[in-house]
Amino acid sequence: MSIVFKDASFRYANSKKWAVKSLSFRIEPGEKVLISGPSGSGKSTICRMINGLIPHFYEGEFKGVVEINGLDTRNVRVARLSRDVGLVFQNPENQLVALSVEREISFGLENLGIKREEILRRIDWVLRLFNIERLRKRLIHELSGGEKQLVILAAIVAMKPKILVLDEPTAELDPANSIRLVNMINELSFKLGLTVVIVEQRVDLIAPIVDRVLVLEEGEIIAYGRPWEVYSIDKVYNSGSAIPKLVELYYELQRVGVNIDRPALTVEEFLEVLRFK
Amino acid sequence: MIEVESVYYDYNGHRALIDVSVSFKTGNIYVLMGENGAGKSTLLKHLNGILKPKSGRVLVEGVDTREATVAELCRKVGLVFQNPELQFFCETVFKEVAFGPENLGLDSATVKSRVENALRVVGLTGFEERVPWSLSGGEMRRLALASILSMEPKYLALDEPTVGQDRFSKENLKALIWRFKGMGKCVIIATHDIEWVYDLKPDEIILMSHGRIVAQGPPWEILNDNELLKRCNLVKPILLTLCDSLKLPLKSSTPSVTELAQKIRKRIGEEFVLSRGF
Amino acid sequence: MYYLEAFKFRKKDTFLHRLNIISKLPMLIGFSTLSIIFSGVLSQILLFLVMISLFSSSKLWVELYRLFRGNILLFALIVGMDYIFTRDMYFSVSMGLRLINLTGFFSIFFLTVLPSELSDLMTFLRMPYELIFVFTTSIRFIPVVIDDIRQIMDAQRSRGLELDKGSILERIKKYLPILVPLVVHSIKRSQQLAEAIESRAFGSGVKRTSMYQFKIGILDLTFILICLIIFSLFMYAKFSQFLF
Repeated sequence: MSIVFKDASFRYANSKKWAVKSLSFRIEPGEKVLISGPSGSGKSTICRMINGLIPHFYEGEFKGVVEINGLDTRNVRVARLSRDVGLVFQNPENQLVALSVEREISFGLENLGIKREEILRRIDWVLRLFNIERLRKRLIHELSGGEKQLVILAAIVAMKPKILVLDEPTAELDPANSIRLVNMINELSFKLGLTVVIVEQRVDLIAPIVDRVLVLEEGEIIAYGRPWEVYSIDKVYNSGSAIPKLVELYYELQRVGVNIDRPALTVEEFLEVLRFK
Repeated sequence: MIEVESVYYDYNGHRALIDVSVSFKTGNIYVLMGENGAGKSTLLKHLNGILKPKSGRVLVEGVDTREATVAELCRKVGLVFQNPELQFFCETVFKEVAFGPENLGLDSATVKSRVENALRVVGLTGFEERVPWSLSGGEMRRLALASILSMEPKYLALDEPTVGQDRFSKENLKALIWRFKGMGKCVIIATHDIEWVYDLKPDEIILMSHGRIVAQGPPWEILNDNELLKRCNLVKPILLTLCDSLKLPLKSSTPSVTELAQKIRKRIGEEFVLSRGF
Repeated sequence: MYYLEAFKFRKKDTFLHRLNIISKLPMLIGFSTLSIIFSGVLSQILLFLVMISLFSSSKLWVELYRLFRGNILLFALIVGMDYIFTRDMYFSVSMGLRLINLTGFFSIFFLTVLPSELSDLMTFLRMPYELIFVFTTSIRFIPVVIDDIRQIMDAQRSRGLELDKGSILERIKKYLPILVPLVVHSIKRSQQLAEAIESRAFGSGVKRTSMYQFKIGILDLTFILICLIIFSLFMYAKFSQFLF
């Protein structure tokens, strides 16, 4: 399931500024891409353009084309696109509608008109996949923030989308739960062959696991490529986009005269460059 | 000084604070760390009297919080909550920031100068006539901060101020906190953003877990203790992990990126060799 | 607040809890009707005993106590007022007991019925999905809104707002800093929720299926039978003028 943006732009109604301008890029099936950039750079807008909320839910001016596996999003309703694209938002509280975990998971499936037996099968499957069988009968308001976000992700994965878009999913979570969620996303992308698009500020966590990084500034793409390529670009470093700590170190080392080939994203990678004598 | 003495607090059978004792002195930056549910927010709410201890006591410059009202205590202790949207109700930014000092009974001239001051400190001068909800997320947070600053508290408590913030906002917040310290204020921050705390270089870090204070001390002591961090479900700051792996001696410090780069450079050739390509 | 606790669902594994809502609803309707059409003190006492046995078989003694505590003033008021007007002690006590019985039967119903069972019942009755959704979502967000109110009050009190001072008019005005953020926040929440459910194919136009399946067991039938017997006994007693 590929995602293709062809010269796509969007301006929200009542806004003079274009939220995103002339975006052209491709995400191949099975790829994991991090979308990075300061607040207001258009990251959330892109997420909504992938699942059709833009242009169908938000009013404004839409130019260019966004194609999800060949389907033009302007001609397909959000409900239809949600079969292929799952979107996880930042605040778990404002995504949960049911009273219990089981029913939350069945919600999307019922909306899709899936038969009862299949619904029950998928609930079993997803609870096992996420290792949250113990939460099956729990009431939503009893769950912790981390558990809520996992349940939402499970509810969306149960709909079997091919593309998973996550808009700052760990923003409200503490470090332990963030790691758990990110590991889950990584595992899912391998097990299920999902294309993953993730917007995140916690780049230290995410940059090591993605295939490519897309950097935005003021609604325009300023870099798109492998993480170490992108983070070697000065413009990215100065853009206000979140930068992994080890990349900051890479720049500092360059300044004091130590030239490393390319920035390392994990401690292990760093140790490959800097060896003990 | 705020003194928290053996405070115990529970609600609905859930024990939120157990035998918590700590002091906060002016001119210092304190960071409360721990996972969600460790008791950080509960402790902050005890500092201005929103919550009163079930046993033990909290003394704000000698005044027992159980014997004072929140309205009295908030003159000294300002508490900025995590979600700025849950307090805005005025049509303009000016009125929003004026709300606090007006409640303190100050005359309109004083209120006006306090509002202007507070807006200047957070960098929102010129926003006086804007509608609070028309501001961006980062601007709203600064507005929430300004609305407490206008009350000119000596002690400033911030609950998870970096959630959802981008790089520049977080850096600005750091600078602001250091400015408050320079002004002689006491700043107490509850957060789980360990990387930001690492850069902040606070005077003291207080680790909490399951309602108890597990450890307190200077950053280099707390952030280097692998056992402690693991127990509290926190991840070691990445630069310290790197120092561990490179076996760099730290000498009671938490090196900044610049300092670390220099340490590494000094050892190139002797201890380390740069290898090409990976 | 304390009084409302008597109506909040409690998770337990007892006979009554395991019953399908289909059997509990007739129980509620049946016994409430009996409480209303019977005015004699003996009938009310018998109904009282039925009500207590339902509570104790569900091990909900704390909630029963709370029910009594909440109703004690009203009970005393009703008995007192009736006695003043009728000088009939039996009648007055009967009226007081009627109140206790009615609230008791409603209470036991809500204490043993999950809100999702109610929405299942509505699905079974083929009510429009939009209605069911609004019902379930409203209940789901009750604790969330209560928490919002608490947070708003904490924030405003930290800015010096004193809700318990001032004249009546002043105090009403002081609720503005609580209500306005609550309303705005709720509106923002509903916008975010709308986005989220739209992204999960809500309103796709496809016919909705349901996870719920109508199941009635031997326990349900037994219970319905028992209730029917008791109901019939009461009605027989009324016709033969043994009870009134």
